[in-house]
Amino acid sequence: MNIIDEPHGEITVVSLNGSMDPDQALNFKERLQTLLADRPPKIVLDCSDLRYTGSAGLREFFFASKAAEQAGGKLVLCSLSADVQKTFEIAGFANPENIFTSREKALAAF
Amino acid sequence: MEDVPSPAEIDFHATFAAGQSELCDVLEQIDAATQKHSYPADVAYALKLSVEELAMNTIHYGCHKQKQDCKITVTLSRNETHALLRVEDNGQAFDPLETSEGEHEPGTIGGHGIFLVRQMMDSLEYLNQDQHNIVIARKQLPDASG
Repeated sequence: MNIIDEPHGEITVVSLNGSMDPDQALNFKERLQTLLADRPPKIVLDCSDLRYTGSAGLREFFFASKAAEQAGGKLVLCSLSADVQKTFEIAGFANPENIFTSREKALAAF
Repeated sequence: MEDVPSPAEIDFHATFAAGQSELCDVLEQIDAATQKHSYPADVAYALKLSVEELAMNTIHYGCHKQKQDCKITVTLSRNETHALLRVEDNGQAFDPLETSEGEHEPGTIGGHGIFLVRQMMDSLEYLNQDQHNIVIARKQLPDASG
């Protein structure tokens, strides 16, 4: 999985490309830790090209979101594929305040 | 005869050491196999997720005391109506379907693995045969439903 981050003013957009398997979930966790060190972290995870996540990936999404919140910031997701969206919904993580259908809508949430 | 299932075609079969990185290699191979055999995207997704969750359970629970010798075998096959997934290991007897994971509380962290599998697959069963744990999961193929 490729993880590419780019700044949009105070917000960092992180594009995820590939499959979030358990090994990639660990990579994602390490990468996010740097971004979460910003005070307050403002992060959009663009999932347009995220083809898959299992529970290991879901766990890291959840912890990253909580960590951003606890640091007084925010982490939101956008552009989930139907299968990834369904996985979030089944797990009970598909909170409309944190998941948006487009990058533009996600950026507008800050 | 309608009640006799047609023989399954094996589309993927692999045995690997019960480790996370080995599992991740197998998940990639499953992607390739489901693509090669033209599985519908949602079925392929559900199968891959089921392999991840069932194997991670084995790695964390069934094999945690004997990592060196523990092996996991994944077999993916198909008949006319269903995709069939079989995940077998030689770890200590462990029925993942009896864990509290089946009663996951939405929006909380932890306990998602088997819950997700239950939701995405049509049936799940656990067997212990010859000191092996075996989980068989079935997913109906769309053409068979109507």
